[in-house]
Amino acid sequence: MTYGVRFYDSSGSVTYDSTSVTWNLIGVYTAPQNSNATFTGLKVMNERIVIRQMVSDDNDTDRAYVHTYSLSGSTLTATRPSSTQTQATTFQVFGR
Amino acid sequence: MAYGLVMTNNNNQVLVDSDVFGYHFIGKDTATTSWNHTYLEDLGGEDYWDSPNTISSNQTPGRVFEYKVKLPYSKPPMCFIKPTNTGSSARYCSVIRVWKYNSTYWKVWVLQSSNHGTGPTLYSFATMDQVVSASSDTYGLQTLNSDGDVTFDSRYLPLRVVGAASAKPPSKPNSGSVGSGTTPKLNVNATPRTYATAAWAPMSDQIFYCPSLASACYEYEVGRELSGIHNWSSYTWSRYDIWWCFYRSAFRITGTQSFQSNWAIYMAGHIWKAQVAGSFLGLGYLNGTPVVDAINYYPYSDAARNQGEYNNVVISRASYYD
Repeated sequence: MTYGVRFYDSSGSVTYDSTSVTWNLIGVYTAPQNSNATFTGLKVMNERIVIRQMVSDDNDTDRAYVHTYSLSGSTLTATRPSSTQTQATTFQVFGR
Repeated sequence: MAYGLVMTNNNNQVLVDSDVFGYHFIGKDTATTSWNHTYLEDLGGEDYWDSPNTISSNQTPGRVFEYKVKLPYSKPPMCFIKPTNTGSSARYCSVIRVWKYNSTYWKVWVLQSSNHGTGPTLYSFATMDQVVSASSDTYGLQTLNSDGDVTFDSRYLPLRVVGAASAKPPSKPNSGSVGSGTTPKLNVNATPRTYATAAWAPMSDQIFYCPSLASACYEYEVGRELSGIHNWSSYTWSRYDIWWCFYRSAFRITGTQSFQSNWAIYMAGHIWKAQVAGSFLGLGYLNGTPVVDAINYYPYSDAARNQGEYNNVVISRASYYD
């Protein structure tokens, strides 16, 4: 490491350094079951990725459709593939 | 940004931004329980054929591991999997279910292909506004947003990502015949999809986050019938069997910079019904139409869902948090 920043704890262990290219959380958004949803005000960063996770404790998770999505500018749009079998979907949007 | 801190690397990628909440390590967990999910049912009737009455070796289910992650907030934890093995023969695994269990814990189910008794270790992360424990360390860097909320704190082991990719499973778990005679052929035989992650860490140190989105269900049915004379009466014997497997997408680390996506069997089932009838009862109603209400046993048949949906995977290192 010839440049950058590195953080240590009091015992001298590295807790973070800038060679670790990390992703920061822009936000967590949940689209309701069987519904479309639009989320606005998302931070625009150089790169962004979206990770989806269906959230439910019942067997519907096993048979359900996940929301599709588009991310453009500061807007995340979640679309239900089915009006009766789309599970609630959490979108974790990361940027760096 | 009128004030605050933005730290970028030489590729202009943002490493720390005081306006956004970074993920921080909250703990690692081993499974509290696990099970192998099979379903067998004899739906009755008088058998002429008394077998097979078991789960076939050609429909081998994986094992589901349940974890409790302490996080008394509404946002789900970000649960990385530390797999039990890596490489081209490694077991596949994935997070298949997440839900808020009570005011203190989330529950997480991880599916691992094969019935191996030891499950993966979960490394969980939460945003700084959800970190539960307090650090007494007096060294480090902390950032705050305009509301005064802590968004980054080096004392809480910020998430450090060493690789990423976008993955989806093969279009279906198996190709070719799904069975012949009384032998189902429902084990996964799909060729996995391979993705480059650009991760720079030994395989054995990698942990990954990529929830399973896709499911699939395929079945094999067979009907048998036989007519004959017994005590001067004509009889017709019949038996109808259905075998099925329900699959979820799952993943494994196959190289320092490669990652594979495939299917793992979440549940395997076999049900059967027999009948003996007098001479003038036909078999037709047994053929073509299953004798059971299949919807009670598996969610749908001969299809896959969400299999075309890519999900992003991010990779970190266990040693950062051990």
